[in-house]
Amino acid sequence: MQALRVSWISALALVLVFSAAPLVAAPKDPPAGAPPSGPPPVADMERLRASIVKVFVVSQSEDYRRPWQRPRPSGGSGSAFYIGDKMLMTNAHVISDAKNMQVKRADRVKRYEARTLFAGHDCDLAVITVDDDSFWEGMEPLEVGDRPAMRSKVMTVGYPTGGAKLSITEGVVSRIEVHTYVHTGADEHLTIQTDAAINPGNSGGPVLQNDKVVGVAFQGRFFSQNIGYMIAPSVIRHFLVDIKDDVYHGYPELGIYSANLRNPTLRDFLGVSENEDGGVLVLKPVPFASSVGKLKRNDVILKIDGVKIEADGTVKVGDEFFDFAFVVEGKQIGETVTLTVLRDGKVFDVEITLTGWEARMKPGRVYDERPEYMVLGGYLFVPLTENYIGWGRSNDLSYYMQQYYRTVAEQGKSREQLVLLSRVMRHPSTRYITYRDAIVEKVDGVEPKDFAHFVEIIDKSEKDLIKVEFEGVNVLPLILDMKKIREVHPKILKQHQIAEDRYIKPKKEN
Amino acid sequence: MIRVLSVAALLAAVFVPSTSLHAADEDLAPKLRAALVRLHVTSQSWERTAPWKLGRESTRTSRGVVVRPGLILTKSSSVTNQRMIEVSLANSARRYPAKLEHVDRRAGLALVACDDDFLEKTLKPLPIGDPVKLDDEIDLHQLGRDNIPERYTARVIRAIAGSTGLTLQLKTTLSDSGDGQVALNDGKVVGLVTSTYGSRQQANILSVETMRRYLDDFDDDAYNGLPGPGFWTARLLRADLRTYYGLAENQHGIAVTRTVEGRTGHDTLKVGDVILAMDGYDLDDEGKFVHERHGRLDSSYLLSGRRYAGDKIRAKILRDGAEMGVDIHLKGQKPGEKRIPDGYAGSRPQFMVVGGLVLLELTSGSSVSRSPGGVILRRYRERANWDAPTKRKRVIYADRLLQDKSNKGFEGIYHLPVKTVNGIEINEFADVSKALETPEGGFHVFRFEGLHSDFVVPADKLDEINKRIADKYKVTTLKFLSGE
Repeated sequence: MQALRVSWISALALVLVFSAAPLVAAPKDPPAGAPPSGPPPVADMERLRASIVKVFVVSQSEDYRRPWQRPRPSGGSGSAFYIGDKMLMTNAHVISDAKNMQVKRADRVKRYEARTLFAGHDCDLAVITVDDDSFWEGMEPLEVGDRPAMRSKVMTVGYPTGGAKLSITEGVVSRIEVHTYVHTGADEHLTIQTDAAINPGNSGGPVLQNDKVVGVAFQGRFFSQNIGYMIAPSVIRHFLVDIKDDVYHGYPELGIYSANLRNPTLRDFLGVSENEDGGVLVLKPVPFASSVGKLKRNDVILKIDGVKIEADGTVKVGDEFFDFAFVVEGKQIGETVTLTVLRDGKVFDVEITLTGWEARMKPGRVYDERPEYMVLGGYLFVPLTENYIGWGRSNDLSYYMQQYYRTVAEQGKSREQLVLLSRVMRHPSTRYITYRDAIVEKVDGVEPKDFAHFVEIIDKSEKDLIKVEFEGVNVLPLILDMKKIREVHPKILKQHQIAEDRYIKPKKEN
Repeated sequence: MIRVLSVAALLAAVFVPSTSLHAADEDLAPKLRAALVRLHVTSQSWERTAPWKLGRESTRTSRGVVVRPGLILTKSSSVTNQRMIEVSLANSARRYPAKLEHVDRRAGLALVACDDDFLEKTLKPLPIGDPVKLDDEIDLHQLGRDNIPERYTARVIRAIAGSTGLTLQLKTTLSDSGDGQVALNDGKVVGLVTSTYGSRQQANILSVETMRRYLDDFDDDAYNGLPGPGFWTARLLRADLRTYYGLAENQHGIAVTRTVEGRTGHDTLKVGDVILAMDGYDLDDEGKFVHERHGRLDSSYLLSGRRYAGDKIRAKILRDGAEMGVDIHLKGQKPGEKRIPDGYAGSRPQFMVVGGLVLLELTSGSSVSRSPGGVILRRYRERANWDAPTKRKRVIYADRLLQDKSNKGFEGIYHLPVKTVNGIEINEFADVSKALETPEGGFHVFRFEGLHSDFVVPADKLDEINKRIADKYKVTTLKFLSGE
């Protein structure tokens, strides 16, 4: 799949906007709203032209291989729609890494400077605003509606590639299921598929039914026809409720590795009563997530918030079956979920307070963040991130990323981030020394918990020689001769035009 | 037209490769006719992921030379997966039966025995010669088309030491694919061609040392195999490592980074030692030395290129700042002595089918995915030579599932290392058989490494399930274990 922001270089995406007045607070979709097929969701065109805007963005991402510099900026465009309170909703991927942002109404010539208020990269939604009051004159917010029914007609509105003016396409809802959101590549939420044309530039634009927003166009699929995806109303509502306290916290992680319980012998073996025909098997709580300490291997979760879990791990919502984690979708960090659990022949309830992912190594791409790094003499150290892997397209590192999660999941290691010796810069002091993406195992005999810890160990060491050991078979240690490094460090920075020799994220304040 | 002719002439000059044997050496010709053979090998391999089945049959030809009465030396790869071997002689189309006598895939050599009286009487061994040196001119001989003997000239340009012996690189007029052509010097065998690079006019041959050791070992009562290098080393060109290992400006060598229990060097060397000299040769910081016959060679030659398993060599090492002498006992390394055996084609893979689970043994040739379980298997394979196979002798894994109504819900099983069966740790295939004798509360419970649910089969129905699956998928035999 592809995200659908328009880029001058690659594909375009568009936004459909439509708006509703009050921000809806209910965290869950009411069961499927509109009838299976109704009249085309035609709205007042003048209202649409005023409320659905085109977003022009100049963005500049980070260079993860040379983190002290940035690649050249690139331009792109998307769509956005008015949701009230001087807020425009769009996709997070439209405004990610934006250095300059403008919006333009279809009924005006002028472009207005805009800025980001909230970005939820995990759900690919964002809210932007314009400080010029004149921009908002005559705008009417679009209301977020219910989840549209299968086969019901919807209308996508936005500014896709192929022209400059507002575009409207129509189609039907062709599928509703939980999908990966490609913006981070790691998050999964409810997604609605439509055959209404959604093209690059549509990103962030509303999908309408009966004058209400029933989705935000956001991604498509390469090499296929008439398949476009929109973000479901429940996800939009979750985002809007989340930002009510002026901070976006993100989705909580129930955090369970699970397996289906379709096999009758396995059910017998686990002592699942013959009266029960559902349940999902716990393999392991995900480290740093909500269920750590509450669940353990071979627990069987029979219900979630009182809703029965089927033997394939799904729950029935309306007429549809969704993964049981869908129940958590509507909840915010800090809320609770009640699991009915079978353990050692006994059934009991477990209440879990939902938390976010607390490890520093996030299982997805991040945006609008400076990459951490440290240049030490001719050596570049960085934390391992999905962004770093994506930048270098390294299969080996993906392997280590997987390996890391496997290790922490199995052994409960306390490492929250892996540190890499990214590369060695050419200089007489680094002659014969070649490392590329070597995973640091220990520095000065200590396993670094994360990148900041790694830097701290080096900074605090008073030794002349610091030994850095690496993972892998026969990967030799690097001996940092600190005296020599201090001597050549300024010269190497000058040679490589490195203005800052490090960037370490400030510590979060509790 | 003139230009065309010139090009044609040039091509002819380059590509007229061989001279008739008759023009070469009239005394040698009859000896060669009685020693050079062509091998016709019909092979058929086991299907890796369905090892109860044989794959497609194919026949290929290669070459060999008689080195012992009734025994033909050839490349081990020539007899891979062999089901039938036939031999034809110089200037004759007739084929005679033969059989595989011995193979050492690590040495890269095999012996094929005559299985016909006429053949045995007709063939006469050629002697093994002395090692050749750089710049020596030698001849390469083969039975060409219609089994006509051909001779090509060659010159030794480089020696390359590896963990399996010494390879010599030749500049030669031979451009056919390298499949056991015989290198001769003064009428004696000095190598077997393993590969050719026609566009570069180059060929590689296995050296006399490797052949001689293999044959001597074969002649002995017990076959010990080539000595394995056994321990891991690091080059010491880097200033930081030289400082770390405490080398003086005039000291050169390689650092020991790992020794492996049961292998060469484990009882003598320690991690952190720096080997300065071995077997009388001073090493440089890349672990190389200059050999009087072969030029600059890697020190692996001193460990596994010329000595025999059981020999000991003297080494000078730097330990804790002091130079000292130690003896390194060279230990043979046979196939099968590694946790992850070399995935040489030819041996029948061990397997079991239990309740639809297809269990295989991880080898260096196993096809392993990047699935979550595959990642763990890859990790084991990476460390094949790094870890000693002390407790865990083999890695057994569930390759896939043959689906059946009894195992529904487990469809996702793919490339999962087996950790325990019925609570018993699985360290080799025999453990699985043993564990299946003691079900756990009426179930057979397979637990995997990584995140996967246990695979469970009702013990009292296992035979019935196995039979149904075997019938459905035409699994002709449910297991092959080499020891049973």
